[in-house]
Amino acid sequence: MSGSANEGVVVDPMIREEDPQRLAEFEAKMARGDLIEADDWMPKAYRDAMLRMAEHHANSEIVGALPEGEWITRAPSLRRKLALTAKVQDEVGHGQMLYRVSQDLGKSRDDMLRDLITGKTKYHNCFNYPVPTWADIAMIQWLIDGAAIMNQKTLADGAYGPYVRTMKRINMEEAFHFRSGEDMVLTLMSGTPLQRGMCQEAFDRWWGPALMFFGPPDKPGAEHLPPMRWRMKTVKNDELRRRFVNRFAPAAIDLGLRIHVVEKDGHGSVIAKRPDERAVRDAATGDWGYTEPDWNEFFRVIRGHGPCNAERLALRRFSYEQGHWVQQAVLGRRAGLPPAA
Amino acid sequence: MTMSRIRDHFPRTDPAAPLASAPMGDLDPYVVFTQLRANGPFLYAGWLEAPDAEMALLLARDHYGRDQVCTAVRVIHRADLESSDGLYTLAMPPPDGTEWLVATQKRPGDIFIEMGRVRAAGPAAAMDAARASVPGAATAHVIWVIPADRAVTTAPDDLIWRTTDQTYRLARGYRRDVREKWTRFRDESALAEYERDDLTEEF
Repeated sequence: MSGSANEGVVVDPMIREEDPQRLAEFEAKMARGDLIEADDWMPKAYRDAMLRMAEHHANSEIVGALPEGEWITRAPSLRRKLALTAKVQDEVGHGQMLYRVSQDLGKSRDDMLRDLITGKTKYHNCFNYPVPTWADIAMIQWLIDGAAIMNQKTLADGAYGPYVRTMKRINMEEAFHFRSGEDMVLTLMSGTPLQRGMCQEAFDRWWGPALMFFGPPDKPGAEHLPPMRWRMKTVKNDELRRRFVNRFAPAAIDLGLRIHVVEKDGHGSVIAKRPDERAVRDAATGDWGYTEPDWNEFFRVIRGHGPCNAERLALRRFSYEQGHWVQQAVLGRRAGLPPAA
Repeated sequence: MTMSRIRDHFPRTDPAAPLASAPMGDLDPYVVFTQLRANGPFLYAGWLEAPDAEMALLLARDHYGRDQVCTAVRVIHRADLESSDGLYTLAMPPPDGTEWLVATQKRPGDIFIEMGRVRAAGPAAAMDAARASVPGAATAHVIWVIPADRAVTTAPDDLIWRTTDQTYRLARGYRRDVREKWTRFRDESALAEYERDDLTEEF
């Protein structure tokens, strides 16, 4: 799965303090399409922003594994159970690779894990929603992993070499996640009315977070700001969202799903919905329309007030504290028993 | 919804509360190469961290050896790498006449591929010997040389990729079923349009 393409990085004031000649050389490398490696000179603002982006992505991978991990024991068949176990293993592996990239930008892994579980750093907002049914697992893998692939394909065209190489490997694994999810959605929508109904309800819960996946609407002139000028991201949020809707809205409709504008309660449950009348293809542009997701909800969740923020962080923290003796044993220190649960 | 006892009853600690333990620090970085077919080249797979080479190999098998067919895994401590671009410097040079592994990166952004071995006295001589005798090294963007006896590799008879059906963990394991199911819902043109955004490179 993925971190957001938009981390809201503000860097301009720091750039003024850089050596102008080195900065000019760096900008020239960017303009030529060169890759930046860990030991190359880079502006502090670039290093900080790249670290923040890679760390956010790493955090998202390991927190993203939590809601899916809950469903391993209740997968509907052995093959689905094996696939979900492999997917969760992949996601945690992506986290380890991205923490490694982040470490070379100057922050220790332990500090990153500690900052995550004490709420000092963030992870992707879509993992703060509940996953009440197996159909939600299917929707996460189809819509959210599908969005992640669309986003990460563009991140693999970025400028920071270690992140780009990691992204390419991650994308190859994401292809399995997406394909497996697509298979699950197709199976459910080919099934009984009860299964199709369950799938529709899950789609209603995840369509909004999937639209939010690419981050909030771009600010004017985003292409000239450092995140894009420095190729930390290569495509604007709104463009990625347009591509996503053009791919998934017609696919959902052909499957028999209905696109709704929904209202949710504080637990993430849908309490009201109406058909999204904008979800039609514009004959002139060929683009599919959509109603903007609730951006107030997006910012509320990012600030820690989503349906599952506290639960996700508490579980990560519990795992960290329970696993502390393993860390000690691995490091060859005296290992005590874990704290009582 | 009830998920499991442990998940329903773990303590909900306030994130702002300080952690009980002090930071532990990080482990050592190892680069991992995987061999995807018997007698094939070792290819750069990625990095991981471990307290020692034995643990690094165990982690590498699980992490990098199980997302595609894999016949061998090799780990190398970062301090045992000498890089032609200066990124990594060998911490402890081996005795003269040591055999060195040579891995090259053809163009910026490419993965490193192990291309051969040379004998030389010291990393600089190994680099020269690589450029003179290892295919592709003379024109490579970056060369890595590694004392061969410091690379830790799985045993030849070690089974890394299991021989049971593992297509459930590969994208290609779903492709035919997915396509067949889609044809119940969509015509060929809509399906082709939808598939246009699929990843072309996958395990």
